Amino acid sequence: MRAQRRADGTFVLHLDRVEREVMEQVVTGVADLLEPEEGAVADRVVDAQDPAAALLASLAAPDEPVAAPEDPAVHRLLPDGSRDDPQVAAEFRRLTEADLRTRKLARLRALADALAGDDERVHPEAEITTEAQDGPVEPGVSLVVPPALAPEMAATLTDVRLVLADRLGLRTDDDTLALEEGRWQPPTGPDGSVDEVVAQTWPYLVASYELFHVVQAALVRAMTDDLRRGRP
Amino acid sequence: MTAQTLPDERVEAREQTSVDDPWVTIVWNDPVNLMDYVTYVFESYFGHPRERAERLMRQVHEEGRAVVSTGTLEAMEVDVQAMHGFGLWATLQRSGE
Repeated sequence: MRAQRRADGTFVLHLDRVEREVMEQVVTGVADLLEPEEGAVADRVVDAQDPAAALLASLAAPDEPVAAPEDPAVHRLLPDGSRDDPQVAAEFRRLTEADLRTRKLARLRALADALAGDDERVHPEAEITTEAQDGPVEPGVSLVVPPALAPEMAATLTDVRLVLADRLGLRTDDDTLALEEGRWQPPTGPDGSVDEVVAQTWPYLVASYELFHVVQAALVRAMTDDLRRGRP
Repeated sequence: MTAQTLPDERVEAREQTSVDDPWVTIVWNDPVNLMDYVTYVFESYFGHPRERAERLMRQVHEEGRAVVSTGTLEAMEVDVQAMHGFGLWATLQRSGE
């Protein structure tokens, strides 16, 4: 992974083939997780590309309560609005969850599509895109992020990292430090052994977390520079 | 999230002196969000100067939480939802609780 800025502020992320594939798979997986469960919520989440439907959905606040997500990772992406007042939390979720879920899903899908690099581009300046990388040394793709889309992408990378962190069992700052120092181990059963499937996927999870960490850190540095220089 | 206006100075002054701010937005520490990113969110969304944004970020990181805005319930719902949009863990509660 190499990050670059173009003179116009465009953020360019050079990914090798494996990195692109990992990012696409993980972002798609997180989007799939966030898809509304069958039932009451499903019919309120509308296609963000359809402004009329989105407007109607936002006008029609649901009357029935919305249950908090059962998956802790999804719950972290759509958190409770209150820690100590269930009524406030319920009202907040009723008012905001469908909208937040729709926005998060739309930007996850947009990033996954860009990483797949196989869809039609109508307004390249308004979308994250990929370009083929030339040069024989490092085949792969370049993810091209217009400055105006960088904050949405950074937020999307946060959502992805939150889900990976949940699956890695990262609960405290010390856990994260252990991961960064290569000391974070998979959970063990009562007999001290590690589940075979977990043992196989663990290095992949750790590497994914680190890749998204590095990408987000580079993007946030660029965004912060822009903000402090007064560039939009 | 990207479309936002910086707070008007007069509004900010009124916010600081008003006794009619019954609710607060709290951002909680989590083991995932980057310190630089949290600072960026406080600078870009609330329009805080860098020093104030970094102070708030350190408060979240070191004390586990920080009050980042005060106002009406409706205003705090907007701020909390915005924080959730950024991926920060935020809640609202009555001021002084």
